[in-house]
Amino acid sequence: MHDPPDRTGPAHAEVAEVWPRDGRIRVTGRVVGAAPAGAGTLIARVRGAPDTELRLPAEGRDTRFDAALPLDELAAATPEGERVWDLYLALDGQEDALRLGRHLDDVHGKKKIFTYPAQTSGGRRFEPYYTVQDNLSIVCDGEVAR
Amino acid sequence: MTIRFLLLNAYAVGGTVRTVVNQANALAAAGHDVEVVSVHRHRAEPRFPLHPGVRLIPLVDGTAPPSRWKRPLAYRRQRRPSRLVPEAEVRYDRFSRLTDRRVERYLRSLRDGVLITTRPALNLLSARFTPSSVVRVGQEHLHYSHHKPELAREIDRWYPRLDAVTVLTAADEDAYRQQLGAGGVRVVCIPNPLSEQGTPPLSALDRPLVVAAGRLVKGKGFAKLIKAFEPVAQAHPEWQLRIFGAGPEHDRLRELIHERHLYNHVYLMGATQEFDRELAKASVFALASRREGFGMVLAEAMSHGIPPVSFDCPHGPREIITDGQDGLLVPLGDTAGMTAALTRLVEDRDLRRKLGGQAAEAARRYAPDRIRGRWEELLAELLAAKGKAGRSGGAGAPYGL
Repeated sequence: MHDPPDRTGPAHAEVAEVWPRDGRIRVTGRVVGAAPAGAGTLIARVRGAPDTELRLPAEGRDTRFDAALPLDELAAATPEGERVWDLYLALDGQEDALRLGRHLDDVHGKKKIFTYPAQTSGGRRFEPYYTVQDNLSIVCDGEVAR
Repeated sequence: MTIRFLLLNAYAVGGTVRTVVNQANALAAAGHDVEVVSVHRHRAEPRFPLHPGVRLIPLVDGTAPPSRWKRPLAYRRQRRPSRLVPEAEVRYDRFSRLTDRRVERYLRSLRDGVLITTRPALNLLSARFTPSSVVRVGQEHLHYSHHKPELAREIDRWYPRLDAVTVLTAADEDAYRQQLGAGGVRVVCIPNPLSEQGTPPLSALDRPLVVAAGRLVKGKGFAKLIKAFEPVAQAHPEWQLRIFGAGPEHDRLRELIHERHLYNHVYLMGATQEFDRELAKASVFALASRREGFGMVLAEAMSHGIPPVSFDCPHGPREIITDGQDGLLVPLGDTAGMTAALTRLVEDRDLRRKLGGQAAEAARRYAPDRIRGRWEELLAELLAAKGKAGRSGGAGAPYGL
């Protein structure tokens, strides 16, 4: 599952940790290549359905961010079928949303190496994963090809 | 004088092939005439490249199998089970009537020089068929007690005919000497050499990274290591454990990592072509095996100045590591002890530096030129002894005698 190439750039939200547990998916990290802004918004967009969007508050301090997606909200917003949510961070007072990803470490082929447990909510299964471009997405009811 | 190595498959990938190719290359680079003879061939070129001076000779060429119509005899023989190799040999399925015939003919054709065989079936065949005018050395990569009783009986019976049996550890040396000593065969311990020539790059020991490596099988104890690392990750969340290697336990280990919410701290890295480079990033190396043939990877880690933490399992670690001096040994299976040892090194950078420095020093005894020197010494002694005894040999006794 490739994500659209035009949505990644040098400025991005570098993921440090992903915690899929206790009914939510929490992501922490830091903003790279953009001015530090403190708080912001975590945006999840369904791939192939540009109007379906979920916006959640993200805490921030300097370049750090910390945000969580509650699974019940995610389940309620996910359209039928196998779906992929791509994750972005919009900083307060800044135009562009930054793609969440992990590009600054020395691990190649993260899709196979950085794997996370799936959780279920509302009869649907959610699993965070890294795309082949090392961006962070969440697959719903689908298998991550490894 | 020619030094020959007889391997089951010099074209394959594996620990034995790698060390034998390293030995052959080191001897060729030192100006010796070296030949590598491979019972099987299944691809055009060997995976571990040979020194240009080394001749490579396959006995049964699987890339050009005998035609049923043009070579009906060979065709039939390759499908019939071996009569010369004991069924208790782990790789019995790789031998056939065709390999019996080709190997026996090759062994009987030798007149002088050295023949080094590299696994039990080949050692036994060499003891039976290689003329005694040849210096015959049998390498054992396994501990004596790991052989099935039927194979051990064959070893007891035939190995005394060899000029020397070489083993990897002092513990093996004791075991084989006890079994074979009365037969007059020399048992000598020569460890495997490090793969890297020259001075391996030293780790800076400043990354919060523990590395482990090996095939992902139960015996390597990675599940235990992951459990031992859990408290370390909780107390020191910036530290990571990276496990290099592939194998049948992969999915089970991933499950364990997920269950314990260690997915931000423990990574299954897969197999890598650049293991040396990845290894050199580590600040601590960990080994949690239930047993090892030798534990070469410990010596590799130490050669990069990385302090190792290892279970004190049979048979390698305690000969490679001096506890508290150049690494830490933990009683076999003691998970809490493993956690404590990892924590000591994680929390104490000075201790890492001290043990790491001594580890690099200690690993020098496995440097390829040192190990080559030990082989040259042994072969020279065996050849000299052969010269004194005169050419009294002739062909070995035929099968069944």
